[in-house]
Amino acid sequence: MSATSVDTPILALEGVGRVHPTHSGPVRALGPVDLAVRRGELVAIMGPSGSGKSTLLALAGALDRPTEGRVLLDGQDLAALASADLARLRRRFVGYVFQDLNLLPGLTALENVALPLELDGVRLAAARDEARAALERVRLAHLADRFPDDLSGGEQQRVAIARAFVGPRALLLADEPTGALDSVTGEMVMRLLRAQCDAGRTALLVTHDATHAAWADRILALRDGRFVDHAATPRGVGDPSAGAGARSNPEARGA
Amino acid sequence: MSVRHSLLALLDREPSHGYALKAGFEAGTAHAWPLNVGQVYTTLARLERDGLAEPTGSDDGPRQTWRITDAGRTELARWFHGPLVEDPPARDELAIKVLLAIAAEGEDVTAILDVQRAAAMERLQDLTRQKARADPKREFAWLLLLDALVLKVEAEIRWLDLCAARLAERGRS
Amino acid sequence: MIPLSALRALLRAEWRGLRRDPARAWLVVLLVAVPVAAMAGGSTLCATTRRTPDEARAAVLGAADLRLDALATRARAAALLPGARELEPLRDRRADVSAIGAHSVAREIELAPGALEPERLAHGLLRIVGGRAPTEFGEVAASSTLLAELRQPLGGTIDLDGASMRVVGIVVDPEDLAAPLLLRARDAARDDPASSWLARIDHPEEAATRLRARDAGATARSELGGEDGFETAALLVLGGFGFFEAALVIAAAIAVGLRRRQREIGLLGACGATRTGMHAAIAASSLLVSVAGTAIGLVVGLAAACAATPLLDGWNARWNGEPEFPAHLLAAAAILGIATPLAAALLPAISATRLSIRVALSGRRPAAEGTRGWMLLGGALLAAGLAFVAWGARRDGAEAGMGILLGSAFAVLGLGASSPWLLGILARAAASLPLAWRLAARDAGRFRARNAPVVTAVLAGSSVTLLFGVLASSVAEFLSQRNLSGDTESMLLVALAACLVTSVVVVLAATALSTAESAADERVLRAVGADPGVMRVHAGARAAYLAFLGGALAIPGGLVPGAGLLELASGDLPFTTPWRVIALVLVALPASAFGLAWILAHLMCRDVRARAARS
Repeated sequence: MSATSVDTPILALEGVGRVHPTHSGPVRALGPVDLAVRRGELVAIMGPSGSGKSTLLALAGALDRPTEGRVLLDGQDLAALASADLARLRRRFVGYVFQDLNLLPGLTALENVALPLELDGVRLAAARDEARAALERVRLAHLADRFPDDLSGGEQQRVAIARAFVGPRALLLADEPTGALDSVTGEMVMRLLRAQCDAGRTALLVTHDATHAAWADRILALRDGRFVDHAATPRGVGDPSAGAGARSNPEARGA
Repeated sequence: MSVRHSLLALLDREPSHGYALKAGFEAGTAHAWPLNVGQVYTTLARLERDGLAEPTGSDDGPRQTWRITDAGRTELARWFHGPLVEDPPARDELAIKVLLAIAAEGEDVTAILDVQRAAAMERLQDLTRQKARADPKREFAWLLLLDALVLKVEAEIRWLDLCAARLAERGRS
Repeated sequence: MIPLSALRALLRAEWRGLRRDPARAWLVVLLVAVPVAAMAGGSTLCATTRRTPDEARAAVLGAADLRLDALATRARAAALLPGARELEPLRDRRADVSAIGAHSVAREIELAPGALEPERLAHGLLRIVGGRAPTEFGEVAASSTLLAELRQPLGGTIDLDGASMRVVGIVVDPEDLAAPLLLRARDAARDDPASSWLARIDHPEEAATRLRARDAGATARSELGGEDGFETAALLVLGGFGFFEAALVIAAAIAVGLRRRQREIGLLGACGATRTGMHAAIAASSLLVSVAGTAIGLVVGLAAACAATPLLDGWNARWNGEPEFPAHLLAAAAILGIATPLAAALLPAISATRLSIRVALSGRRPAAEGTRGWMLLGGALLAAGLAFVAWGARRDGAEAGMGILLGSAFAVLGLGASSPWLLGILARAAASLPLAWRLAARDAGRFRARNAPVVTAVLAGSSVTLLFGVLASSVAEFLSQRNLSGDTESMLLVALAACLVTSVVVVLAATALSTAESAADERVLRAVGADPGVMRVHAGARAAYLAFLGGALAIPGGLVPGAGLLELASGDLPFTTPWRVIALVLVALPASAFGLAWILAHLMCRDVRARAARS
């Protein structure tokens, strides 16, 4: 990764928007929005279906390209990267957790966690050591040799989180990671994410569940592709005259 | 919340005096509802009047010890095992405020909802922080109480979201 | 009994299933159509090119009942053949012919004018393919080979016995189109002795026997011809092998289809559909696909054979005539074509509907079925196969051939049946392999229902390859020990190429089938930062793994029956290990499977990207 100061947001969206061409003309799915996520933060984005949450997450992780604005991961403009560089970024820096089907069913829990390292050319033994450490952090080391089909939904999500933070990977992007879980298991996953972020990792989470979003340091609400003005900071809340969404929020704007 | 029944429940465990009852109540409800001693004595007097509790006899003023009667046990069992029904619904200031705002043409209801939602979200975050700090072994009751509060706030948020969605729906049609 | 309405509802669900996944339905249609077309076309071509008894008789006798080969005048011939209703003279000799600056030797046949016409006895003996038959002295018909040698066109002039003759027609011997041949007209007015006489006569066999007893050459019509059963048997064996391979891949395709529809089958079960009803519906959709495939295969195969018929004469230098359709072989192809998908659907249908409704609805993969049963079945079949081979090698004649053929078929089936077990074992042992190969081994083990038939199909194809390899290398060794030369290479190459192509096609079909199920895996791989290249390598590794496993199992499956067959050949042929063929099966086959699957994945990936760009 490029040399960046501690203050550089690990993830920054600057005027990012996405317009989908459809048969009945272009449809705006998102933005333009601004967002900055600092190291060690757990940020949650809430919003009803169709508000652009998943689009935002896909853009943040370079699974999709914006039609306007810039996405910066650790100070690097994603638009400047070729697809091989983006793949490398996904191996070394940013991990995804989807609602389900996060794991390769043909690999054990340990091998699933080791996957990004192995793909990056790390020696098998070293990759497995790192993976075991990551599994220990999510307290699943005892299930390391199980296959995904033999794990519960919550355990699968915890393995996916371990994988998102294995080795040097520092940023987790999660799309409804608790969507398929019951409330106790979902809370366990959120506690785990909270603990990982308290230990210095960073996570951006999309959810429609307020109780799970409440575990975040900051909660942003998305409506019709824009941030709504109650980005949860004590100062921003009570002031109804505040401007458009995250723009009014000094923390959201980043350094 | 019924202080009456709570005290009956404590007395059912063992006869005790006023201060012990106050301490027992607060510990059992995770110190969420502080009780003053006067309230305890008033309640005990009413329980005696209704024949649900009685002094044990050794009359030494504030150190008077109370015990539950058979009628008290019957009443306690009825309370524990019967459902609690709020009827009519408790007056809900938030609901009234939103309904009136909608009725009053010209109010920016969405802004009201947003402010309310942000406040609720902040409360939820605060409760969640306390949950994160709570020790699941030693503070089990506290954790359950926090769950109850979290779900109440969540219900409020979901209701606000539903209001916003229905308003948007009405605006479109 | 299933109510008609229930069957209708289930059939509708099946039909929608086919419609929703047209690619796989067409794959099955294709897998049926190809062996049907090959068998129908091949048997038609064989029947057309083969000398049928009628054609064999016509070449000697024309339309006559009896041919007398003795120099005789008409009166003498009539005396030798009392009761002959009609006699046709024929002179057959070797003649020197020349033209300006050219000279050649030809077979000269002299027939009365008009003797080749229908209703006459020489009809069918020769064919006039251009111009007309000679009708008077001074006219001849010649074969095009002879005309080319003499550098004369039709209408040209040649010298025969010092006389100048005009070429008025082109004549061919139906059994040897390339022969230098000359036909001249017999002067009917003169009664020269003829070398042969064709006769129409009652009881020709008795007459022929009587004539032969008096040292006169004679052949009766019924004494010629006779069926040769070899080609029918060979076509049935080859066709059966083709259908066996197709059945295995079809079984894999149906297993994939039913697995994808697992939830739907669970829903049908939850709505009260019976297993019998679902089996009937699956059988009906298989029948639909198989009838379509068989019809397409028959039409394509027969049309190709008819289109190829005119080219055949140049290939085998005989007059093949109109296409001949061997009814029994065509019927066999049709029956095999229709039966194959039904048989192939059996196991997948049973295992898909045997799932408990709860598991089926969960969408989760059912707990891996035990493979012990397969292992035991495989072991038993293998033991039976080896016993057959051993028994056959101690016998001779038909018993030996039968024993070795049956034995090797059993051995291949046994190895194939134990492949689910083997796939499971290898999947567990794959922990220290590189990622691509580990995933290939694990996926092969997880989707045994799909991959075991594929391994068996490759195994069967490679076994045949190795069998050929053993025979060819042993023959080559035999020849070189005796300083003889012989062409074993070209035959071997054709056989090898055919089997290799079959195996690669099987593996490719398996790869195409697996892409449907690897879509979710691909999403994960892309999300953790796999390059597109990695995905292609994985597709290649999957194909190569299955190909290698099938090839490795084929080594005992091909060498043992090969050794048995050599033993059978009176022990003169030394057993020689065909190292080159083994290398081919173990290296070239997996390598080509890898390469082609890589390309396939590349193309499909591009296709997906293009579709994404359009939408």
